[in-house]
Amino acid sequence: MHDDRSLAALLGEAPQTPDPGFRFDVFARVTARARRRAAFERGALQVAAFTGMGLVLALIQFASAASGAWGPMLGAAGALALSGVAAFTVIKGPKAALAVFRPA
Amino acid sequence: MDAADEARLLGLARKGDMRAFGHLVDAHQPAVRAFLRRLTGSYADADDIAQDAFARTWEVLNRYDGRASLRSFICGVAFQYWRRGRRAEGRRLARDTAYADLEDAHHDAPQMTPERLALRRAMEDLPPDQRAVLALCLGQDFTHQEAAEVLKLPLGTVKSHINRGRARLQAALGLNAEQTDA
Repeated sequence: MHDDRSLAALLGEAPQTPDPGFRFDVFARVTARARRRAAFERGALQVAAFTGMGLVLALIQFASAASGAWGPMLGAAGALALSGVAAFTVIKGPKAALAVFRPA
Repeated sequence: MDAADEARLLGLARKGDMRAFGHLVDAHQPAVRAFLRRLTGSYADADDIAQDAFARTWEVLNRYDGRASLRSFICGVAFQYWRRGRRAEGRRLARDTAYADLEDAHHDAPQMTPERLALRRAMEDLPPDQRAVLALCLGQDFTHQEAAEVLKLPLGTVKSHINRGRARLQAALGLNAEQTDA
């Protein structure tokens, strides 16, 4: 005879006791997902920062067209320095610039 | 675990207490894993999805409003993962045709008898919602109302899915309704 419970048992049994290994695997995934999300956020911030710097650079060049010959060069150098500072500020932790997710 | 304990652990977990969340994982893993084992037919795939569902639940605990039970909430997350995975890659279609692929690497996985194989194939022929309703309700782990909450389906649809799905499974085993009700 096959009632609902026996059909369910044939399809798959519930684990009899909570499995500690399962819990540790869940924790590992929580940690991995948090790292991945943090790496993604860092990457997105870097892209935003560099895009902003590029825009500033273009604006400086445009604004400096009428000033002296060194104006655009100084502006570009300043913008590059600023973008470097911004990139390192954006990156949290000791890892290199453009850090990507690396499993521990 | 009673409701008061669960509410206390939930409060702690929302504040970032992983140990409290671990107790919630322990409390709900049997029901969630059983649901996914019946749904996927693979114990290894079931645990993979269940772990992702619990990890996602940790991230969205603050969105859980307590209207449904926590295990229904987690099963809902798991169901979304399963459905997304199916859509994305047509998960292991070869399982329908190759007996060898039915072997499950999981240490708890039962041997694939002809009876189990027939049921598995019948399950895989069912529409996803119907399959999920059966996976939730056949073992009487979840009420019809809970299944409706997990799958976001009307209660009447859940009941008709159970009746039709059960009949399909019984037919796969060569049974009819009279035999099983006896």
